[in-house]
Amino acid sequence: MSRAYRKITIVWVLTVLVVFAFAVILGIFMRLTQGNLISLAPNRFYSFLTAHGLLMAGIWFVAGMAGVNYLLLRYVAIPLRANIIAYVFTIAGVGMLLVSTLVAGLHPGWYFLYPLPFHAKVAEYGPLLFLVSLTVLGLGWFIWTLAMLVPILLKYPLPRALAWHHLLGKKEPATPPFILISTSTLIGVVASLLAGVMVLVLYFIEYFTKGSVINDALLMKNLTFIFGHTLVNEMLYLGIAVLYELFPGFAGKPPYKSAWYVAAAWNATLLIVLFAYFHHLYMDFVQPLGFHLIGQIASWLAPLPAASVTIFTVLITVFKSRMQWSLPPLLFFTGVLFWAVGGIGAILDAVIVNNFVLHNTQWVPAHFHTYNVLGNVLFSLAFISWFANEVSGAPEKKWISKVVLALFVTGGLGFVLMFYLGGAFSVLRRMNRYPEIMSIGVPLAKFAAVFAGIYFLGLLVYITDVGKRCVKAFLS
Amino acid sequence: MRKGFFIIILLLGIISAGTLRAGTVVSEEEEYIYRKAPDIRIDTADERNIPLSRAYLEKPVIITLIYTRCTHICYPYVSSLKKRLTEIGGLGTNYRVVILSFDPRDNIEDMKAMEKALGLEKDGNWIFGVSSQKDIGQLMKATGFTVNWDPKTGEYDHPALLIGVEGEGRIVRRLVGFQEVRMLADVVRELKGEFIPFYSMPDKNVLLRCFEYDPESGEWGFSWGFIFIILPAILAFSIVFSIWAYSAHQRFRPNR
Repeated sequence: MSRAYRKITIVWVLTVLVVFAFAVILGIFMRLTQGNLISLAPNRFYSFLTAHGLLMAGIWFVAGMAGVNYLLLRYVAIPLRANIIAYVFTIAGVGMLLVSTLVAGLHPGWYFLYPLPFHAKVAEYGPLLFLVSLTVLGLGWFIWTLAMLVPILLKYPLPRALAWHHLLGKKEPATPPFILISTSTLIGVVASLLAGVMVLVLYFIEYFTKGSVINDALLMKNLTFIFGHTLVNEMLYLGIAVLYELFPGFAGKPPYKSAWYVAAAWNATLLIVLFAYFHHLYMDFVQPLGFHLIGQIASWLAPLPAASVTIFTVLITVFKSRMQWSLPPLLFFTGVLFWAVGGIGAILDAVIVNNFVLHNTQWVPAHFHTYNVLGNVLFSLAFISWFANEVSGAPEKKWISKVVLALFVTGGLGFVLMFYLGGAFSVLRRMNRYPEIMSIGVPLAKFAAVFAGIYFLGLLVYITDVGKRCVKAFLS
Repeated sequence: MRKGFFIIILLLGIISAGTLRAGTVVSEEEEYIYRKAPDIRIDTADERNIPLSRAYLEKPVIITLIYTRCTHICYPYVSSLKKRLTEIGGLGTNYRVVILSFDPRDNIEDMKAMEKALGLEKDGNWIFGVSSQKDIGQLMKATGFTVNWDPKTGEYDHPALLIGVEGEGRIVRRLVGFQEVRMLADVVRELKGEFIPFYSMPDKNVLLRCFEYDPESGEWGFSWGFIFIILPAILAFSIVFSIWAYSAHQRFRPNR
């Protein structure tokens, strides 16, 4: 592993942790506002919501990519230049995003559903800067994705990279699960980023024609969710790829092999995940019913192969093993547990009849915060922790593992529980203040802010420990 | 070069075709619905100077604006409304109908005569009334109802307009022209509080749409924009297969 690659990965890690802490603070401010403990102006609240959501989606995507990139170097050579370009574009994009939301005050929400960016009460440059920021981010990530995908496919022919021969019962040549999952995920990332390109091009056409050409809201919504929903699904799978590569090592077991069911699961996931986004359009009755049914079926099927195989694999690995329960395996294991919990919440919401009740309630942030705050984020933090151990040569202290995990689980669990309770009481999501009819949302938000504070405390301990070791490794 | 030119022409063709096929029917309904109807004062055959809210607070109402001297659509329109609402049912149970004159020349006697001419004088669920010029002006503004006086014919040029007002006074539907039973039935169901899906008609400047809907036949079909929904997946797999093909070509190229 070259020093340069270690250094750029350290830079990614530190950036992700700093931006994560900042985005958590934005989230705490929002919950404090909903709890009537502080007063953010409505537009300010929604600009926080926009920045918080997009920052979270973005940084955990790049965290997954950085992890996969680093571990892919065990198998193929990846041009360092692409990694650096992605970093520069990410920093530039995040900077512009923050200016457009927090300085210019753009507040379309993190889905930036059409035509909201054009209707925000905002500084004139806000919408354009926002669209440019997404373009810059997308461009950098597209280059990075191809920079990883091309070397994989140059070394492993597509049928081998996707382990099709394992599906037919052949055992040789073996496809490492990490290659299989990375390939399947990166293909999905390419599709989602291309959808992002299309939606941005359509936005720009409307912007530069000053509204003489306008877009169809339904087409824009479809493209936005092919982009957004697929990307956040794939970022979770990037974390899973890292888990497959690292987890058996903690148990003192040999690397995983791609059994036929692993190959079947990830090939199925590659296809199904592209159709699952339709569940975001259940309320759009002008979309034909058949599409909604596809959305429901795909939403049921999408998590099943990947999740069931991963859970099975992780449990088998842990069972009667000599697992060294340091922080990385603890975070991986906890992440898988809550990924499953959040996944069940998602499947329940994706059932059409349930969705008509749950859709606009806090059930939605409940489920996606579960598999992010307590799932995907923990996968990436596990990688970061493992990486810090590797580059510094010094493992984390035992007490730090215990404290960090306890604070993450207590804070995270309490935080998402408040969202679930909000969903159960039909408290609407995306509201800066709760009217009398849903006043139960106020105490729930207060408790959520407290639990988020506990999670944040764990994060500070984690950042201090990991950051110190990474900075030391960077400087050495 | 020629291939590239062909692709550009094809793309422009797709975009322009999509633009040409973009909706030609523009509804203004969405500009007026969910706003409060003004609580104007009206005179009816039985009472004087009562608020319109008295009618809709008791039951949701369907309001239409006419004038009694009309020789064109007013009488056939109300007659048609009577026939179709009878087919749909629920009049008096779920809603009532308020017929108001926008013509300052009309008085309550004129309205009674119209009521009688249409055979509605004994039906308490049809309320015929007049109002002051100022109040009618407010209602017309709130519902987007416009009239033009034609001095040559001595007639008003005006549309046939039907407004659904629910129990709290909000305008929930605004239909222009003679309506099919199906459309009227939707208004009645909406006044009962049922959820009736509503989607604004696309603007004529819409670039690309996923689907085309034909309001005449009630059928839909795919439009050019739909290609954009499947294009990301197609392009992604094309890129992957191209890299694979390239790598296979490189692998099997004889060493020179």
